[in-house]
Amino acid sequence: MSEPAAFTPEQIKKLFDLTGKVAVVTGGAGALGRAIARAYALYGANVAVGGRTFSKVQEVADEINSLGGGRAVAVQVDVADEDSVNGLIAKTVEEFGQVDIMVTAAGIAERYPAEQFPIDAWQRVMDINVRGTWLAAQKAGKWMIDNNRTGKIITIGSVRGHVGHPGGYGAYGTSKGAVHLMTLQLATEWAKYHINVNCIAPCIFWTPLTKQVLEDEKLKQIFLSRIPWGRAAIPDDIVGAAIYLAAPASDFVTGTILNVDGGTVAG
Amino acid sequence: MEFPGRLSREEIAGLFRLTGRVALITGGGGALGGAIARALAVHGADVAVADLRATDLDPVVEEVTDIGRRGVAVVCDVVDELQVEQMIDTVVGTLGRLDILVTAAGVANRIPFESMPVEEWQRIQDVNVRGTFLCAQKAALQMIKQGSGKIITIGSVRGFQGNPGGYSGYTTSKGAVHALTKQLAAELAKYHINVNSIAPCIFWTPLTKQVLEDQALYQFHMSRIPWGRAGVPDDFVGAAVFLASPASDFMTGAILNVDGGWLAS
Repeated sequence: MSEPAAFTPEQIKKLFDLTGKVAVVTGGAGALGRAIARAYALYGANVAVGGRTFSKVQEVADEINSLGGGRAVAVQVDVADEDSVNGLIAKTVEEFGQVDIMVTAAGIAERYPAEQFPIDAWQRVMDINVRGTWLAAQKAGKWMIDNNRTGKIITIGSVRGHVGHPGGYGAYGTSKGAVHLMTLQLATEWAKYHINVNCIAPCIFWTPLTKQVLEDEKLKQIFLSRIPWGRAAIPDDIVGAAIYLAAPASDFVTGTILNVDGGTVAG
Repeated sequence: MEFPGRLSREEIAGLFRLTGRVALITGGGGALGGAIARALAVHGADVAVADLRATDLDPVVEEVTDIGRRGVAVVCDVVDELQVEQMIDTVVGTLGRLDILVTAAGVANRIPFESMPVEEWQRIQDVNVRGTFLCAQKAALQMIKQGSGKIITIGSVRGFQGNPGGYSGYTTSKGAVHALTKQLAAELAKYHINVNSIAPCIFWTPLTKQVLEDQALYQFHMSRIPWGRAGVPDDFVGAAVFLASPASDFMTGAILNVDGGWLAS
């Protein structure tokens, strides 16, 4: 029942340092995944960049390796496939020796009015966003537990996981609500192993895919009317939160859903 | 709307840097306020600390200047509007600007609800809610002139949930702080002022020692914290630096629970 000691000034200085850490990022070729992978490498981590198309994740790894921070390796992974995700962890350990951080940034969206939503499209979204997040988190967590190590798991939720939206997000919203609860459950179960599990819930952010939504006048107006900050996000708006949740700065934080949303959920 | 670019390497490296920024921490003489003041200074900010008693502030200012930053102590009762205005004037007058406000001034009491005197209940609202309101308001007026700013309120897991222990004053006040945080976020977004809250679970201080050393209350709290221990002030400084820095420039209206898994379970 005694209190742990306070941080030394050295520890305070290094609150956001990722030197010596190994991170895995799924969805590593996507706009958000690649931004996080790059930021982690700049903060000293080695990064396994996982994605469905090898050439695309190789491109991300090559850019990171040209930066002079942590090193990157590209790994092909289909997040909905258990063997493939086991392979991602195995390849990371083979290359870098350990897994300290897992960011489950792999995700897709499909938009249809709910009453017309094809069940196959709906299921596809669940498979990548929910099953894919689950498998990546599970295999990373299992490796940490089996190897008696602490670690950090960061899932990607969404404002759509908190509230509904007129733009046909019946699959995406549902999937992100599931990711939010999954985060709370894993946080609760793995706290005893000192594995932190947290979620970043962004509002809409610019990607080659959301471009189509953000350039539709009507949809753009709906989004902007609910973002007090006055603009959509860009991937780099989110990397600060990703570093915070991967670093010693957040060692006592678990089971939180960090809204990085220009005020959307609050307003 | 054009596809905006990405941050440069230098910008990413500087995400958590507070160099050139001035922070004011109310309740700076307390356990949490003092720890936050120290951490913001380590990350480059000049720091003003405010509290009821100068004697509580002097050691904090000494530590800030030891770290190599400018430090200033201001005696202030956050419930008093004039004193709060003067506090902001003093900070801006001596340190030149105000970029970050952390409203860590807060009090708690524990009295079974059915016996809670309304004056005791009111006192908690005055310091925790009115105090937060006044400090945020007067700081925001300065930040509006400057074109940006960061306000960090201190909420609590008790702002989300009721628990045994006689917290009807404290819980009410922290729920109010959370709602106020969101309202300020919505209103101040147009001035590029970020307003967020840190919601801690119970943490060791000279005051909470009394709670954590009570067998029954300790058992209750441990049953709700999956991480297996209560917090300590330094557990929260990472969140404070994060919310004070460019790393969180797109976050506003968020309530960051730093609670060893309390709210999740």
